[in-house]
Amino acid sequence: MTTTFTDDGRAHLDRYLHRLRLALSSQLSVDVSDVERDIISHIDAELAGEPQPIGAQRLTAVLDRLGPPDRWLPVDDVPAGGPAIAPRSAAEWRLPVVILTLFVLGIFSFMQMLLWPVPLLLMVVSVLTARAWLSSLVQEGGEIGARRWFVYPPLVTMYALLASVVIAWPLPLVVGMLTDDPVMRASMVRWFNDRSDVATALAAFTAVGAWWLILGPALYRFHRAAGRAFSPFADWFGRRHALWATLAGALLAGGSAALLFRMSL
Amino acid sequence: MPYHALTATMHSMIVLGAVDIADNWTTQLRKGLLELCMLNVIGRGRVYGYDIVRQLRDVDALVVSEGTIYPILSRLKRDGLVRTSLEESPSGPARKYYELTRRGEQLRDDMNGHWDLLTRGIAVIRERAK
Repeated sequence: MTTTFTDDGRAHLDRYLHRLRLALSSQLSVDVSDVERDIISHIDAELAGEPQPIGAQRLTAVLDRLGPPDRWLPVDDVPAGGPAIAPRSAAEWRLPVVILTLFVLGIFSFMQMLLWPVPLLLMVVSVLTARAWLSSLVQEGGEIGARRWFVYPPLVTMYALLASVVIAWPLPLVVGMLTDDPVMRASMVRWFNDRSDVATALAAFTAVGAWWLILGPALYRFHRAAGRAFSPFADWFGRRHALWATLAGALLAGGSAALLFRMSL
Repeated sequence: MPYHALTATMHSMIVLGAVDIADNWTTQLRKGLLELCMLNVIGRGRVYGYDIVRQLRDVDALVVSEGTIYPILSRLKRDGLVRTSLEESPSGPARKYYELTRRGEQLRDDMNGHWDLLTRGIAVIRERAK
């Protein structure tokens, strides 16, 4: 090979070639080392004339076009029901299984309130490992396949919790302030009589709407970071969605405040 | 389960089933056509492996993953349809060139003839269906 790579580029290429050998080893009519030489020659030809050494990012563009070896069209007969997918080795399942196990252990110990804060730690480690594993999978150009059922549950659960806190944290805060504090509660009853519960809810909605009015522009400015925070489920998040959040905040805050004002008359 | 939910679920299952069938059909078709196109590209004369990819990548929807071509080349070689030769390159290591064997030429001609027959027949059927 004439192309020279950076350390991460070389590591990336080695992972890809390992994946290639693994995927093609099941195809009896293919000379794996022959194909590997062809692929190396292809990469050399693609990167000829480019400034060296080649980093992982540039190499990824070439490997993306080559495609993941386990998704190449099978050379032997295609079995009924779809293209053959090279059987995944146990090693490829190990980390997804560990991720789900950590998460289930975290949930179980959380429900039993065992060894606090170990449950939280287990769940956080599970989520961080899942994210790191997914990111490495994307870099290798791999397919997640059925392993999604092991990796996505911790992510979905933690993302849902995080999203609900980010979106609606003023709600419990305002309701708590207006109902738990005797002075505030007395004031609410004095202003709104028997409709103080409705007024409390409206005040909380106004606060949530006002928060969205702050959150929306922040998301507009940092929409990529927001998408990455909830990756791979929010990669689609863009400025348009941040504008919608701002508009929804304006409507919620404005509508709730108007109703509250009307009730106070 | 309410009637509408039940029919919606059944509809989704039918649609998803149709998508699976279409995917499988496309894969099989692409595999066959890729071999036909590769034999034709190699049949023009000795050609470097990377050049085969470059010529085929221009055909939309034929080459989804460029790497697919190399295992097929390996299989064609094993089956005695192509032969390879190494040639020094001024810009790097020796390059592997592919060319059709007599058997490969025969297969290419057979496949081209069969393809022409099929496309003509299919065109007639599709025309009648309009």
